[in-house]
Amino acid sequence: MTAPTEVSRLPDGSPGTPAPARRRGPHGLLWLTLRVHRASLWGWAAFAAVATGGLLWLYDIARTREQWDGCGGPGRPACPPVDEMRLFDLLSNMITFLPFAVAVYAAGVLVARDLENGTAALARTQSVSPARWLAAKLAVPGVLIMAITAVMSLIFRQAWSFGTQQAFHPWHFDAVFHSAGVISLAHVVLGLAVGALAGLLAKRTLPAMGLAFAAFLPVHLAFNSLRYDLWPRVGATGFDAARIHSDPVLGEMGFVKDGGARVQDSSCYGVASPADLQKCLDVHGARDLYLEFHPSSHFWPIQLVETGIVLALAAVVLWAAFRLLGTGNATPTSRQEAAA
Amino acid sequence: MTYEGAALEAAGLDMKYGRSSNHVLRDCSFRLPTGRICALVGANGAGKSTLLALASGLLRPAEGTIRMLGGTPAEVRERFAYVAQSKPLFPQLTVAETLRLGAELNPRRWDQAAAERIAYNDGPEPGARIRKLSGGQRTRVALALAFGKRAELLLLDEPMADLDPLARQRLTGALMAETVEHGTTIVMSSHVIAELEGACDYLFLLGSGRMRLAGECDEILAAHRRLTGMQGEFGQHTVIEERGAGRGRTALVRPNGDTDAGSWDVEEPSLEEVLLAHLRNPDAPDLRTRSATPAPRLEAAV
Repeated sequence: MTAPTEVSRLPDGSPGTPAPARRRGPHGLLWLTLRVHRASLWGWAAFAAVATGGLLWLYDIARTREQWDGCGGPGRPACPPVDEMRLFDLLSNMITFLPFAVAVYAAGVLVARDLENGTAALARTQSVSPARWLAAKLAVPGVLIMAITAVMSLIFRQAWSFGTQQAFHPWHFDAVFHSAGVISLAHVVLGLAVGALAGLLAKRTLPAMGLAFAAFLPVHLAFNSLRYDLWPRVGATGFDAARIHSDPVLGEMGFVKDGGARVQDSSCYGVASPADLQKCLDVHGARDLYLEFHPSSHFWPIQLVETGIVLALAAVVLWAAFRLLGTGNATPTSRQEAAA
Repeated sequence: MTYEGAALEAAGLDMKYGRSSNHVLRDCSFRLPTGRICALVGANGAGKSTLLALASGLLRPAEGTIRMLGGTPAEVRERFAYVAQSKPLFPQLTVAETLRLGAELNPRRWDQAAAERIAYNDGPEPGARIRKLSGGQRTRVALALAFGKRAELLLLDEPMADLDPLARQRLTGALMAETVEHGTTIVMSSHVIAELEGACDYLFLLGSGRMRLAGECDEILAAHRRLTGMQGEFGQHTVIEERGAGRGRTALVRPNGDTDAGSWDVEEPSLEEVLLAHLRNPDAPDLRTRSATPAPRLEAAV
């Protein structure tokens, strides 16, 4: 053992590194999170580069759509090298299912792997509380992933909204609704929260990933089936109800019977004139036609309500995760190890 | 004697895993004064690692309280260091980056020179990745993190297991110097008794979920005698273990009164003998010296 006066020298006599001077760049848990998860953060950056490239390509094709009309025909320019609808579907689905990837990533890579190999105990027995450990793990990759999501959604929205929207899928198409608004960000936050809780509960990488996916799936499906009930529909009757272009998923249409009872039926939908409508109503013994639907102006109200609900849900899940951490149930030490 | 200044103090600890009815710890109480190097020994599965994980706050006891340096583990997080049995380190980091981890996460206490002395003495290169290190080298990097933290209490779970004899000797020297220079309290677990003898001045023997022996090594030794005689009678003394020795009998006893009165040879046993005798005989009564007994208020609070 070296004498106390020589503490700044290594045993071979060479000067030891002085107590660390203030380094440039990130510090503390921020540095540790960036360093420990460097590979996966580069992975996200690479994904972002590829996805952004694809989105910019889609944007370019959409922007110059008129040039492609009748492409490939005699005297017309060659068609784009990709089918724009397939590219559109691929990219919109990528944004739609991004929260699943985030949940699985947070559960397995961010939280459970650290618990499984005991390194969480390492970080937590330094001068760092478990809550700060988890917060850093979620915040640092979370900020990066949210930035990626925001950029992707923004470019997607620009590409989608060129020209008539009917060129691509309509606004209420699941993948479009997920990709062209702000709910993508909220779902990513929820994915992160669900992943963190799953990681703390499962404590092992693969089970945690499976649990995160399984827990996020019903949330995803529930919002897909319930979101159009989050905002009141607009009603229409008479010839208006027969003429408005609306998708059945957005509401319902049918007959108003003589007693005022409503019966769902789409038989008279799309008739050419008020006279044709009257004929059709007579055939079916109905007094009037009704339609309840969401006009495209409901896109943002529904987006904002869903965003609020999803963020509230994420807050509850995060609260549960931090609480679980605080009770010591999410201990890094495995039973086998501790029992030794 | 004062009850202040305990490095580690526990009362009525209960711990079991899952729904099993086997308690790893049951009504376990003890006290460790500051400035001691304490050996925590016990058979495999006796709960040594569980006890250290409880002390470090990584596990919560089902029942009972554990306090260190006058606070809960969470309150004194900065002032103790813990090295788990598996010596967890981030495999993708280099040795130098691992030491930087210590500096970054312990900004007010970090002693880079102390850490480097443990990590690099004939050890790995600073740029070597943790995943490429041998078990012994990993152990030394894990210990370097603990030393660099300049902790007042070091909890070391099987610190010697992977080390070669020379590294063991160096570590023992480093631990003793640490205690002398900084008054650091050290608890280290092991099931190899020989590697602790000579380094430790305090002893905890864990068995059947409780502290079977707790106290200063010399006081524990002084409380035991080896008696060898022709007939198998050892008077009023508490017999820990008795067996045949040549034509006579030999016994490890806790003397009750004068041991010179009988017709037997009296010798002072080694610490290893005392421990082995207790390990072989689980029914031997517990022995806890005064300094190893927790404050009454702590026990009363449970």
